[in-house]
Amino acid sequence: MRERRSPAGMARCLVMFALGLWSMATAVAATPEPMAPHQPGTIPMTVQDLHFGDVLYELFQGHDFEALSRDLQYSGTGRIASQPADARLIEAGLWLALGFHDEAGARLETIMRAPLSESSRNRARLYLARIWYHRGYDQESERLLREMTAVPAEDEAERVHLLSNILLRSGRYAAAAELLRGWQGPDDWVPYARFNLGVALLRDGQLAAGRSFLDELGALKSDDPERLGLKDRANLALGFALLEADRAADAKPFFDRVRLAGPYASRALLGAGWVDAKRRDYRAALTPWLALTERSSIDTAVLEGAVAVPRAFHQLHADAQAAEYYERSLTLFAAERDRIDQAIGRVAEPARFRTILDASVNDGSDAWIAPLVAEPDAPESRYLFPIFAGADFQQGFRVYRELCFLETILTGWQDDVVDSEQILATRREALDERVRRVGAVLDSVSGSPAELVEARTATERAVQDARATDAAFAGRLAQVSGQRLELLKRLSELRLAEVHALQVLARAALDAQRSRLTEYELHARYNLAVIYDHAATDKAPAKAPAKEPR
Amino acid sequence: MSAVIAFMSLLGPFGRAVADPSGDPQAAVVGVTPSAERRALDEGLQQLKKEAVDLHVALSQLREDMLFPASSQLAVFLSIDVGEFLALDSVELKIDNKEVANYLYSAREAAALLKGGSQRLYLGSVKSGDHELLAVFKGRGPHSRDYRRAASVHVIKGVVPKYVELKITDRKIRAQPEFEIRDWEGE
Repeated sequence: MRERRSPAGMARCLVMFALGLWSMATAVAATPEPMAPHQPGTIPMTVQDLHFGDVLYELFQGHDFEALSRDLQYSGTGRIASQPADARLIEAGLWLALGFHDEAGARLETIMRAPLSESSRNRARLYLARIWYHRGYDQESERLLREMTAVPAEDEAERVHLLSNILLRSGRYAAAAELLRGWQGPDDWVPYARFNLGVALLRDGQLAAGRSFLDELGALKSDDPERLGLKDRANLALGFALLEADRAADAKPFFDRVRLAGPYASRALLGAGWVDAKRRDYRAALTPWLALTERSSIDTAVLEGAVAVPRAFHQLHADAQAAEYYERSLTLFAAERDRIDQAIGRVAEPARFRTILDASVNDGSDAWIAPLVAEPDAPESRYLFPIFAGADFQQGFRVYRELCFLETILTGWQDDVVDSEQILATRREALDERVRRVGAVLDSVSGSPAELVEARTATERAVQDARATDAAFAGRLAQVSGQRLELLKRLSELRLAEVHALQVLARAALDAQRSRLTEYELHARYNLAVIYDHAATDKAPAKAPAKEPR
Repeated sequence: MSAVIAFMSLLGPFGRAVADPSGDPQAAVVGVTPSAERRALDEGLQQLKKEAVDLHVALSQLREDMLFPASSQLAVFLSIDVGEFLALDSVELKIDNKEVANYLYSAREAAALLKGGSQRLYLGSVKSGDHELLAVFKGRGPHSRDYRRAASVHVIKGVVPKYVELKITDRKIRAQPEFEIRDWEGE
């Protein structure tokens, strides 16, 4: 599953929201007549300041950085005098569009304190709540969502949806379930709410109630890949919940419902085998578990299956097959460990790791995947792909990509700085030349000494003023130039920190996989040793090997 | 209010963006909470971006002050009101019979103008006193025919910045575009 809107699309909508809020604010403040319908994104009122219009011109072309810079420049020099409130709203939207959530949030909070209708205030609250939720500020988001009153239906659905997500994230399952029971939202969102409700009930220990929702969702008919994925997850969640509750027979149909071609198939096969194993029907358990051994070993379920198969053979007293499958699993684990170690090596070297990141940055919006797809069998591809695709890694990668973008911008301003230095040098030369010419003229003209003194004094004063102006410009330029270099330095440090954070994230995920692998390997070695031991002493084992995979 | 609903409807509900990263079959579909370290890095980025925007503002203002000081600054803006009768292709601007701008519009720029933006077509320096501005508009007029019209105005530049607006409006009665040049007082 994925967001239905890209971050860029989302950001654009945030600016559009600001425009919408602007029209609302203006309507509330000044326009008693109903507003005429207009195209989304157009401005329904007169732009009173040319410079404000210029900001909008940049904004409507998607030049958010330029629009915000101009807005701040014009506002700072009093050139948006007629509609400063409008400029503030657009500014808030632009801060959002550029990812300045804190700045935008603070500005929206200020805007909300201004005279606004309750419905407009609620919209602003909902919007701000979304921002805080995205940023992980759940408490702030929850406060705003709970402050919303008399909310129209279309907003209420989203309000409840957000609030329930916050409750689920914080482990307040009973409260989330209570909220979601009566949730009525857009049709395409109902399955997600039902899934979350089912999971909340399961987590709250209400298996029967959770089952009814997940069972319904697990029988969903759809061609939509997202919905089919959710359907698989509902069946899987319910199947494992029933297994945990020692109701293996009840769990079986839910594992059977999971698509074999889907991403959850391996876990479903594993679960199906466990259903039979719990009933001590190891022969039946072998069917899904042997099917599991044919699948990609990148999936943890497949690794677990690799030790479940020989264990089932052992339970069936087929020790020769058990030993053979333990040997196979050890070979598999050794190969996997080598690959993981290679991936760890790739991640551990900052330069090599940055090569992967930079290739992704340079190639375009979704191209982070490109270097991994180019070498699908390379260890880093095999293991890094799912890690890179994870939401937490993607959050960090977005920051890294923005830092690269910022570095490009800051580097580009070097030309402006150099250009400005040349302008100043030219001005100084021109001034010197004019001073020389005026001096020559004054030396050559005849007149009363008093007039000449006055002319010389006026010239000197003008020259002093011009030099003072140039000196002030030079001072400002030096400051800007110094700040640019300082920013570049800090940016470089932050980029290194981000690379390190991403390395740590990837390393932790790889270490976790390696550790799981080691666990399976130890288990296989131990059980294989037991089998060989008994074979050597030529007597059947008194009981099955003690260790179980999980 | 209808406008707001239209804007908001683009957003859709929110929070369904997770592919079960934990591998936990009973994980809810609620998104991930950023870690403290992630937040710190994100805030570091925001701070940098904020300072970069401030720096850009300072640099732009400095260049404007150096190149186009208030005493000589003249800015010409272009805007379109409605724009039903003219699809603008280009604008040529002359000041005192000297061409200072000749701009060809992309579809995106034309759309930005139609949405209510005003383009700063020209920013420059002129001496105090009388000046003649001549703008030539080209595009496709009513019935998609090639269209070319000129409009001119005399402006008096004082010691404060001078802002001039070239505005294209629709004259409904004649089903023709109309061209105005408005002399805004900078002071």
